[in-house]
Parts: sequence; C-alpha cells; structure tokens
Amino acid sequence: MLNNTEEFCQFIGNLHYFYINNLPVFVNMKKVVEIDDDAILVLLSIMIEFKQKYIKYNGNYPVNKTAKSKFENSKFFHYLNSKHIVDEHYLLNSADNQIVTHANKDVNSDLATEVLDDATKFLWGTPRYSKGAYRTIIELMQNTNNHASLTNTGERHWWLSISKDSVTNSVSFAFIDYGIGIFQSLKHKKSTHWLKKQYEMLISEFHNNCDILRRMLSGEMTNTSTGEIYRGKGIPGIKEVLDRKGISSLHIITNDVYSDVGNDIYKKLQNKINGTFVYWELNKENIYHDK
Amino acid sequence: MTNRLEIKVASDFTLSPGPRYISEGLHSGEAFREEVLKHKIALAIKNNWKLVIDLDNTSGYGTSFLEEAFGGLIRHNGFNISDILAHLEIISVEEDYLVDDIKSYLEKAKPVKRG
Repeated sequence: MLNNTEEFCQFIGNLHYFYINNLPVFVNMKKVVEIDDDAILVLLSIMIEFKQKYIKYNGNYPVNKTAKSKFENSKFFHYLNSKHIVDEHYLLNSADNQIVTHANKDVNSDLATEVLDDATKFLWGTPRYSKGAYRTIIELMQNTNNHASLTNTGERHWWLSISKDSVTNSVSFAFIDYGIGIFQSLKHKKSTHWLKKQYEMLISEFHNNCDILRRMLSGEMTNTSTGEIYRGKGIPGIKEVLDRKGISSLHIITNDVYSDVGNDIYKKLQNKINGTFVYWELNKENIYHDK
Repeated sequence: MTNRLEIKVASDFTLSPGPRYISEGLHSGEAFREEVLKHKIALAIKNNWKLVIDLDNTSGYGTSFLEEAFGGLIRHNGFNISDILAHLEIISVEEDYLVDDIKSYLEKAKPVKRG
C-alpha cells in the first residue's frame, strides 16, 4: 500500500467497481512476487466485505514462495474458503501470531488497550502506556464511527492490523475504513459548517487536496468568524501525536492524496480510494509511561 | 476551601477511556460525565470544596472523550464555567497538555438552548 500506492489504489478501485455492482470477482495473484502486511490487510478486509454482501470472491496463490507463505501465514485462504461471513466483530490471527487483525464498528477502547499491551510488551518486555498510539487508535475509530457513512453513524467497519517485526524491533499498525474519506466527508458537511466553507475556499485557491490535508494536519484551518482553529481533534490530533514522538512513520492515504506526514511529502494520486488508510509505527524511540 | 473531593479516572471509571457518546462504545465521555463527574462537581460547588481529577494511569484519552466530559457540563448539565474553574483541579503528569486542552474545551462550550 505504501510502496506501490498508485497501482494498489487502482487495484482497490477495480475491486470496488465489482463490489458496488454486486459482481463476482476472481483475484489472480499468480504473478505477485512481493506483498506487505498492510496490503494483505486490505485484501482480507475487502474479501470479507464482499462475503458480507453475498458476492462471490475467489482467488489463487502467488507462485512466488515468499509471497505465498505470507498469504498462508495470514490465514487469508482460510477465510477465503469459509462460507458467508457476517459479523460485527472480527479477530483474525496469523499462524505465528505476529499479525493480528481486528474489525469492529464501535469505538472499542478495551480493544485499543489490549492491542497496545501486546505491542508494548513486544517492544519493552512488559506492557507500557503508549498514550500517543492509544489516542491515534481512538481518534481513527471515532472518525470511522462518525464520518465514514453519509447516512448513519456506526455503519461501517474499521479494520486494524498490527504486525510485530523482530528484525527492526518495531510494531506497525495499519488502519483502514471503506467510508467516504476525509475530503468527501468535508464536502458533505452542511453548507453552513465553517470547515466546509474553508474547504471550498481552499480548493478554489489550491485546486488540489494535498495542500488542504497539509494545512489540516498542521492546524492551519481556521474558522474566520470565531478564530477557532481546527487543531487537536480527530485526524489533526494524530499529527500532534507524531510531533510529540508518541508514534513514528505516520502515513495517511485518503481519497486522492498520499501523505508521508513526518517527511512532509504530499502527493496527488491518479487512482482515488474510497475511504481512509492510516499507517504508523511504534518503536523504542517513542514516548511511553510505565504501568 | 479546605475540603477536597477526588476522582481518579483509572480506579473510579475505567482504565480505557473511550468515545464521546454512550451510543458509540463503552467508557464514553458522556458516561463518565453522567455517572461520575457531574455529581462530584455539583457537590464541590455546593460546599465550596475542591474537586481534584487525576487523569493518570489510564491507557490515554481521545479528544472527544475529554471534550464531551468537561464541555458537556456546560452544554448539558447547566454548570457555568466560573463555578467549574473555581472548584476544579486537573492532575495529568503523564500528559501535561491535557490540562490546557480541558480548559479550552470548557471555554468553548456553550449551553444548549432548550425549546
């Protein structure tokens, strides 16, 4: 997802077409030679979304041995071969327990604690408080619950995958929802809402969403009538967590924008995604507190 | 103002503070305000005591939890900001910026007009 964003977004877009048109799909992965954990999360979550709608979803293994073993380890094909899956909550463990994926619709704070106990124990030997990572997870769950659907709150699943890496001694987190994404959410706010007015003013000035996401994350969106700054809340709050070294390597992909936030890289995507993908890492350089 | 009341969020409410509203998930800011905070702040104001709230030793806080818990006192429970500020002390050693955040939520909250 991060290493080949444009092509992967195109691929997701193709799957989305089949999904919204209730068409069966066969995903041919024979030629896949390299796949990251976050891409497996995306494929896994899409497959389950298909199964929830009773749309046939099938596929084959990569020929490449490394890629194939990653799929096997993730139990992707176990879920692929199971019958119709409809649930509010999912828990998918890899065979070696190094990749754990959760899905839910609510803001599940007990789960956030459980996930971070596991992650910090992996890094430091005993569970610690990682308040930055905790805030990040809660803000993202809250964002999906409140904004991912145009009609009702709590309609869409979020997906959170955690991968532990013994080589880099880090834990990576991938969070995705297939909602409407940050900019579509701004566009659909009430016409009187100051964020919508700001968005419309900025889009007429910059003509792209990259600068708007940068401004939003930097706390530079201001309500001109009250002076209120859009800072600290929701997605912008996650940038503050990054700045305080609560997390590392924050990336956000939403609608037509790719951003490597820490390195101030913002790129317009030719292939849009419906929803929001957020990636970050936790390592020993990040702030923690003893339990 | 010698007497003090105390709320330790970790032991009096939850280790895992959650979303804004009860409808969004467990351990919400709304639940904290309705079950714990509003009663203690009312008692503190009535008796001219200090209410000390210790935010430490939890997993952390989303912004919506804190905004709803504290801003909601003004929006939904009829308290005014000067009474709250005169009787409230926040302890947050682990995340010191939360003290200013909460003050800002209180300052921005407006009472909800009821028809």
